[in-house]
Amino acid sequence: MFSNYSFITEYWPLFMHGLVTTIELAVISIVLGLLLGIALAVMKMSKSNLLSLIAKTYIGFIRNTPLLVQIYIVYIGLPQLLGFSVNDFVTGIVALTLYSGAYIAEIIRSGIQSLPVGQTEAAESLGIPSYRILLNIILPQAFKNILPALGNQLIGNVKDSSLVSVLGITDIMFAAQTVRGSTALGLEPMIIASALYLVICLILNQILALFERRMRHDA
Amino acid sequence: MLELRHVTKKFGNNTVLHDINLKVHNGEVVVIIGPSGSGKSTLIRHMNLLEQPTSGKVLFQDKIISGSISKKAQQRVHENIGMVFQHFDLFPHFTVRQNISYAPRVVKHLSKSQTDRQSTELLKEMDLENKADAYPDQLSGGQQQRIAIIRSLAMNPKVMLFDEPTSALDPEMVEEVLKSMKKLAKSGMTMVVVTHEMGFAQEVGSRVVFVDRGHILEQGTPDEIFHHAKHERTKNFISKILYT
Repeated sequence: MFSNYSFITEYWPLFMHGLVTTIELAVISIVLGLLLGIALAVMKMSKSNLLSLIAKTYIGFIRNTPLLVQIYIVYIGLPQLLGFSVNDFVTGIVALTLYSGAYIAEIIRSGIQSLPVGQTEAAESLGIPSYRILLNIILPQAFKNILPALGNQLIGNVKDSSLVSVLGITDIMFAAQTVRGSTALGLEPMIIASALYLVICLILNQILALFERRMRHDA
Repeated sequence: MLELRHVTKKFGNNTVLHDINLKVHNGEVVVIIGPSGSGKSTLIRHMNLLEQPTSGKVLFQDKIISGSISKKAQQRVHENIGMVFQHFDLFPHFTVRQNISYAPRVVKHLSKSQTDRQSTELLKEMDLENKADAYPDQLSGGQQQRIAIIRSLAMNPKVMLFDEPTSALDPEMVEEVLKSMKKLAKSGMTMVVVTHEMGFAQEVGSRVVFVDRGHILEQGTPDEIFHHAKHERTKNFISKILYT
């Protein structure tokens, strides 16, 4: 059962292609999710009840429904909304962005709220416009505090991206499924897939730890 | 120059300020004293839009600045009224020079060479010129607070507000901050200072205002308040704080 790995030579390029796709999915969706998360966090904390309610509802929906369901909703709903068909990879990115954006919004909000309110008041009393207070004073400080949580979210995105293989996106998971189908092997392709996820996540962890240490040394 | 007219402030059911009337004239140093929780901070925070009165008005140069006013009017208030806080609130990710120059750069659109010259000059006046490239957490509390004063001064304000500027400092650092404030007062700056430093109030204050339980109980020259107070509560407070 654990001896039959000769398929690797033949299917290695497929796995490597999957690896690249998985990394692309995770990185693009975390970057876009960060932008969405900032917007949602600002909306949620805004004085406007309407904006705050919209953000709250959205975040609540994402956090309390399964990602797989959300992926299908985007897959079916997005073309209807736009009126034209959407490439599967883009669909996957959109779904993962919408998903991680909600979680990132909560991370950012807690990062902002952990800062002393005096930072905003001091900046306001100097007449600094509010968008600059957010961009130059609050977010850089908040970002430093939330870096570990954002790192976890990135690793989460790597793993969660495996779900978009249901759309036919050729990520690691898709490669494993393909090999299973064409070789009739059960466990082995999944062992390879999990090894690849493991390697990505372990490397990411190292990079993030390095980042954190560097951030702590600065200033 | 600055005026609170019948200002009442409630937080929920709790009335923090009752019908406050206070005028600050050009060149005056108004020192606000009173027990903790009497509403001193809330009062001074009305003077630069950090608090809005529940009823009543706040005026700056005879124009109403409370309630909903235009962005431009808010901007005018912030550019002309500087504020120094109890916890300094320097921007920790900026160097000292960046802390000082940031607002003049983005609000007044001064060039880098202009703000560099200005920050060097201000730092020199405060004997902090060798700290220009330090980060706030590399400085003592006293130094941080003096940088915070410089940061406000860099906007060329017409009035400076101080909200318990020495309360968060170790005792040995209080003096250097008070010295900077005295220097500022001598230069003719209009100042409103909430403090427990009675020595400062007596020496520098042109008027002392005693706030108690959200009321201005009495006000007058330092001599009137410290030696000839009319109210028992004022006398009590002063004797407690001066002789313990």
